[in-house]
Amino acid sequence: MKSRFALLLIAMLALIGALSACTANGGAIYATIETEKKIDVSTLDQTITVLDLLNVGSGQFPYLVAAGAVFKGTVPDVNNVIGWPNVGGSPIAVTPPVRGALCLAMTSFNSGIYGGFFTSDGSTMGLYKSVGSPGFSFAVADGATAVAAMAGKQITHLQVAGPILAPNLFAVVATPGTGTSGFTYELDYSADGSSFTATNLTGLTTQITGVGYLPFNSTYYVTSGPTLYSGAVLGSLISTSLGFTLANGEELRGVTVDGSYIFIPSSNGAVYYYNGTTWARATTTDEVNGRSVGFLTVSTHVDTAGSGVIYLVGADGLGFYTLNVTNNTLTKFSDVTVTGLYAGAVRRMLVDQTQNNTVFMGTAGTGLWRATFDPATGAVNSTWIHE
Amino acid sequence: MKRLCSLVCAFVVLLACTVTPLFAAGDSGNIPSQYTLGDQTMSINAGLFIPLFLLPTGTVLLAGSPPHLSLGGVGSLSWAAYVAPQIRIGAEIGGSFTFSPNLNALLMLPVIAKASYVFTLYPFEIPVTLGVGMNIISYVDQHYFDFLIRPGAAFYYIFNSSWSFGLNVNYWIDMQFSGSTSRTGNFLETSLTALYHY
Repeated sequence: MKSRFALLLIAMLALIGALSACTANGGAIYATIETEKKIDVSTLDQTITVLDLLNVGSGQFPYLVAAGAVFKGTVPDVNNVIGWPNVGGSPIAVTPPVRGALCLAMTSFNSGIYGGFFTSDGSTMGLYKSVGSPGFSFAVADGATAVAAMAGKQITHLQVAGPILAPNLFAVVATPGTGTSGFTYELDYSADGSSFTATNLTGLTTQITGVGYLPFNSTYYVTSGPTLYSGAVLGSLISTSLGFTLANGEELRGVTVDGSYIFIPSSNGAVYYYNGTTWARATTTDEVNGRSVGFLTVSTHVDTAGSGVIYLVGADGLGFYTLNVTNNTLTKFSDVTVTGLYAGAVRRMLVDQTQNNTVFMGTAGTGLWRATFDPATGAVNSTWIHE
Repeated sequence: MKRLCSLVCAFVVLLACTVTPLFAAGDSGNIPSQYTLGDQTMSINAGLFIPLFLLPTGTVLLAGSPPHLSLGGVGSLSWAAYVAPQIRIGAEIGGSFTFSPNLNALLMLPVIAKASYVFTLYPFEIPVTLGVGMNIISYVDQHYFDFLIRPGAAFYYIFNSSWSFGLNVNYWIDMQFSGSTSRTGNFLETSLTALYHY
């Protein structure tokens, strides 16, 4: 009886093994591991959340990373290593306005670096213009400028947009409500970096996430919650249709302008883009934890020597996608071996075509990543480096 | 490939069915086993898991791709019953881990049926085993069932009528079927074993 039972058990296990394995939909785990390349690591903290990312020119320190503290890095050397000045492996941060102050937003404007800071105890500080290279200090004692018009204000977003010869620095100012009411948001702008004027977008209850300007139709675009605002005059921005009905709860997450295109990533697995004539929408049905993947940012084009139709889209929890505007497709980054990026939330991207078409990807909580992309095809052509 | 899998499964089942009368007399030249039909064993194994190489599934080459995997660990629990003095058949469930260059863990949970022919050279016994089954494999966010063939041998010291201790060596042939990306993982398991007879 026992031997019959044992034989039956053996037959069942063998059958299960055969049936479960011998299918066309089997795995490719070994093929994935076979091509896995070791990720190089640098000296930045690999758990930082990148809030903003800048290329400040072609000098010694062309990269600035706002991640609470602000870090500066040199161009890649002949060994493809970026120097992040450090002591004992710990990067030295750019000097903040006061000790412990955190940078929430950063951009370059009028040959200067602007940063929105608040102190580590949560009190607001305002907007600062740093000294120049190589120090980039934000401390007034070092020569930095505290922008008087923004003193004591909490700045959640900085972006530059406008005509090439007359750009504006935009600052989103968040004001805490009274009682149980949340923040309200206001969009201000400045032509000189010191005096600011409010647009008509004030008192908004949803975060203002992006500002862009399309030169050929002389129109500004602003995203806030589910609404796209546009207009030629910054005091008269009006709600504008994207040409598509947004899903319930869908939010617009920023504005990227590149060439003749404007891109708007959404929280519902879509990227809207406009070429001055019609709006298009690229979508994916991919989900994260049962919900549509949320897109966070769109890069400038990465096929910098090609036809300029390949863009990268940062995704919340799925790394990044490649957007091809020629055939309106979104393709997910599929290299599972780059774990921190593959499952990361990419919220800022920077394409530096002057440095071998290097792309930086700043994540929420899994650090800053770097690789070079083929300038003709826009595909990754190097190993990944975890800065 | 389905045909190959089916043939292997059938072979194991047939082996278990047919070896009983062939070896029941214990005429293999070694010392007759002290165990009989109905006796059972439980064993626990723990040891090293050594990645060897990867081959495109279905090919037989002398050298495959480097596995890109680190030395790992393996452990298992096994049950078997004697169907003849030198033959025992049973099942095993285990687990192994190893790491990729980026320290991503490759985890395997094999569930196999196995048949052993046991040479007894008192105070030692040397079971030669063939196991077949499924291997639940997990890597980052990928999870699959593989087909596993696992020949092996062991060398045990018979401590008393209940306990034996020794070294166990198994060769894992783990097949994944996925079109052009099909691969067969080749691994070597070396483990220490405690075997209990009852």
